[in-house]
Formats: sequence, structure tokens, C-alpha cells
Amino acid sequence: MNYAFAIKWLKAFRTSPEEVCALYADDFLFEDLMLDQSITDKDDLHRVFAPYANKDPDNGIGIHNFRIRSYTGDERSGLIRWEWTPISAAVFLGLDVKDKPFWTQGHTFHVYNEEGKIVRESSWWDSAQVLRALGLTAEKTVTPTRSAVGV
Amino acid sequence: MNLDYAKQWAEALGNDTNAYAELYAPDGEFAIEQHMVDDHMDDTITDRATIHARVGGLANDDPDNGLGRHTFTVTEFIGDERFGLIHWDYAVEGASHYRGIPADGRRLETKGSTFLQFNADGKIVLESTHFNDNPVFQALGLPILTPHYWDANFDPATLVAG
Repeated sequence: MNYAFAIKWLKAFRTSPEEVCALYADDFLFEDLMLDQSITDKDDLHRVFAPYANKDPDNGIGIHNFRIRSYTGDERSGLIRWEWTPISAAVFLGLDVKDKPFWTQGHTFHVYNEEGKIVRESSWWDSAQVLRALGLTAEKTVTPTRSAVGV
Repeated sequence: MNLDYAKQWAEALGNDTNAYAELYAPDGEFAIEQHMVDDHMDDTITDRATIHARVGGLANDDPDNGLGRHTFTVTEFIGDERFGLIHWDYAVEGASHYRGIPADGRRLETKGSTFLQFNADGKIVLESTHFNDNPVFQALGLPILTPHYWDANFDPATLVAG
């Protein structure tokens, strides 16, 4: 696909579970292993997407502002790089995030069928950034440095 | 590229930083991002000197210096000679810390993904990598939850850590 499709995908997140689920083929594998999601059932997928279409800023579910950084690929597969800023969310990853603004970045790899429907999705994102925003220790890089361990 | 190439890339990442760096386009013609970007000056690697400074620790081979032994095991490659996604398993042993959190050398495991884009010479021009830190954070005692809110019988009361 392309950048425009990535925008369409994320606008559909915000519009309704029905609209975003319509972008997936009947046979699909949706995975965000960071949220323990490995889903092949459309009813489950509807429930996965439901929070992202929330439009009430006061119910704690949050308003989920995604922005596309780039699309790298072609019409059959590619990587969408994105940023996510939830506004007025109360809980994320089991943590109290009420009145604690945060944002992070991630990437999603898509494989599309001949009709342009998503048949495979693999999403990954930076959760350490979320923890840092909440005041928890979670340094930016996994890579250890010799100075950090005194060798 | 293919699964064998992905395995070569992962082997180099965890064992041989010179070999890893050789897989990339000339300095100034590639970008490596292994976490979120606040500022490209600090967060995007574009030359070999920075590869060695920022990524080289993953190839540590001393089990006792606290840097840890890092292993990346490729499980899947989806792509071709232009671009592709690598799924990998990650394990670290002997690290004193993980992202600054005391780890006391214990074995930690998780998964991650890396997208690579190649130029016409087969050299990498873009690397986008993310680790799934959540299982590691949980193993190190952080109160992270990943409730299955999409289950038909999900109880919202389980959303918040007890």
C-alpha cells in the first residue's frame, strides 16, 4: 500500500471498529504481542479496536491520536511507522496514567492480499517510553554501555 | 533477502559488531533506529562509529563484566531483496541491568522485530527495531499488565494493577 492507506487505516481506528475491521481479509492474523494479542477472529478484532474509536474525553478510555511517520513498502506488504498520543486516558498497561500525558512510537508491518485487504499484521512499539513518562526507570536503549557497568 | 540473511544479521548483531556494520550502506546513507526518536541527533544512528558506540555492547562476549551476553534468534523473515520484517527471540544473561533496572545477571527473554530496507547493492539503508519490553519489565517486578480486554467475557475490574 502507501502512505494514504496508512492514514486511511488510522482514521478508521478513530471512526469505528466496523470501519477498521473492514480493511482486514476474512482470513487474517493480527498480532500485537506486546499487548499479548494474537487474533484471527473478527469478533475479537472488533473488541480490540473498540477503545480506539472512543470519542468521550471524560470516560477514561482516552482519545487515541495516531500520526503516521512513514510507509516503506509496496502494494503487497510494507512497514507503517507511527506515533501515538492518547489524550485523557486513565489506565494503560495496568498503570494509572490519568493526568499523566505520554506518547510513544511504534511500527506495524502489513501483508495485503490481491484485493488490498490486510492478511497479516505485526505491531511493535516502545513501552519503555511510557514508563519513563510515568516516572519509572526504563532507559531508552537496551544496549549496555561499559561506562554504565563500570568496565 | 531471506531467512538465511536474517539469521546472519542477527548473529552479527549479538556477536560481531564489525560484521554487523558491514551489512549497512556507507556512512551517512543509512539510518538505524532501535527505540523511539525524540531527537535524531541522539536517537538515529547514521555512521559506523556510532554503531560501535551504541550497538556494540550487544556483542559483548565476557559473561562476567555485567554487560550481559545477548542472543538474537530469528524465527521468521517476511520480505524480499528490497525490504522485509524479521521476527526474533531475544535472551540476555549476565547483565547487571536491563534499561537501567537491576537485573542481577538473571536470564531474561522476550521477542522483537526489525524491519530492514536494502539498496541496490544489498546493503541496509533503514533499520527499524522494537523490543517487546513488557515481559522483561514484568520479570523484573514492574507492575505491568496486558489484560485481554478483547475477550468476550472480559472483566474491566482487572484493568488496574492490584
